Amino acid sequence: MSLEIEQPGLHTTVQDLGRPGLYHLGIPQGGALDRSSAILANALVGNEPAAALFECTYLGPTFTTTEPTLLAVTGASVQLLVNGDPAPSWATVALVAGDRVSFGYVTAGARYYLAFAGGIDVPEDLGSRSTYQVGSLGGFHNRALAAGDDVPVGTPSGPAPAPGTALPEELRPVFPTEVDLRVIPGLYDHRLTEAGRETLFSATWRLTPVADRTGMRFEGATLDWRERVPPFGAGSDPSNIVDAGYPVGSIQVPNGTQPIILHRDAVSGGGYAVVATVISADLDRVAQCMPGTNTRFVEVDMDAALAARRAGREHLERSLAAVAG
Amino acid sequence: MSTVEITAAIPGVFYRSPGPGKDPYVQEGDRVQAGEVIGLTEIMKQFAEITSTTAGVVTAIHVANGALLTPGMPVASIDVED
Repeated sequence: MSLEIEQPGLHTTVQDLGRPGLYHLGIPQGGALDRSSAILANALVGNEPAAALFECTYLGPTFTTTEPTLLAVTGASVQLLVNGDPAPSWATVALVAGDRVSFGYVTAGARYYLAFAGGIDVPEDLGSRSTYQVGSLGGFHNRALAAGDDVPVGTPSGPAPAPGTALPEELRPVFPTEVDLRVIPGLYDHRLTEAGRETLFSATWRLTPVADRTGMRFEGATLDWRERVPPFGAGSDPSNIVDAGYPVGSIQVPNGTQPIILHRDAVSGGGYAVVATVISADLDRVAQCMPGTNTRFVEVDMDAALAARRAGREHLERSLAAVAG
Repeated sequence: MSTVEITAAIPGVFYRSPGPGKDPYVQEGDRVQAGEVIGLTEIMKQFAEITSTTAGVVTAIHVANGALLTPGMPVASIDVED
């Protein structure tokens, strides 16, 4: 079974839940940027949560199936078309051999996921099929899809939900154009002046089009930094520090003007002061921000972050139970 | 005569010319062919071409150079002779 790619879309890659445990060697975890949507797409076709699937950014692919399969589309709001006819998202859709699948415009969100029963069957690198282009690891030949690709799909190993199974509307995420992201301040927020710190949390930041799997750049205000003589090893920009680790979701503000949220394909360290870090429960939300999204960084503490993570997991468990029938 | 709207498929920054200081791809009143480039969208550090879906005459460019596109937004109107 394979998928014959007619048009690849803007940036369609094979992803799974990533390759954790190598960050200290400079290899990011990577994987689906919106993990919940990826896990639910897999559940809707009877796959394990970590099965490989397509992550489509803004503009999806057009492809033809060579054999019958199950397809589920989750994530950003987009019209799925099978042979030109509308078919539901967040649902188990049966395809027959020769079906031609295409997509309309994204109307909310940024990334959507296509899972196929059996999973995308490309070789693993370091325990994962996730495409990490910078490091030439995983995916379909370590790159985004291209026209003419013939992408293999594995053999389903277990039972799958019946075609027509859908995630109830009230359990689906929404993708507003105004977003609050919860962040934990630090480790270097003390490098900001009091006014700078106040601006970080009060400003409305607008997502620029410079937003990919590595990082998302915002604009909207200027942060003031405390003056100091740069220590040996730090650069001359006031936001420079002697190199330190970057958590996934960390926010750096080169030059004080454009905060960048580092996402799952980002580097593990560098010389910009991390002023705050988006909590893990909100990283999927970051992944779904479209350029122009108005964003505020809302300060929370570790207890709130852990409670949000628990709540996120419980929501995902409820969603998985709902599609399991 | 009918009018065809060319719409943005992806979000990003709209550019009317291939580079700073270069002439625009098309002006209002220009005749275009199907598949002809009418602008660029910059997104994720890459540039994607916006092409006309039809042959005809450009009657309007709806988006300013450097403005932000959202998917489905009308970019240009093309008059087609029936």
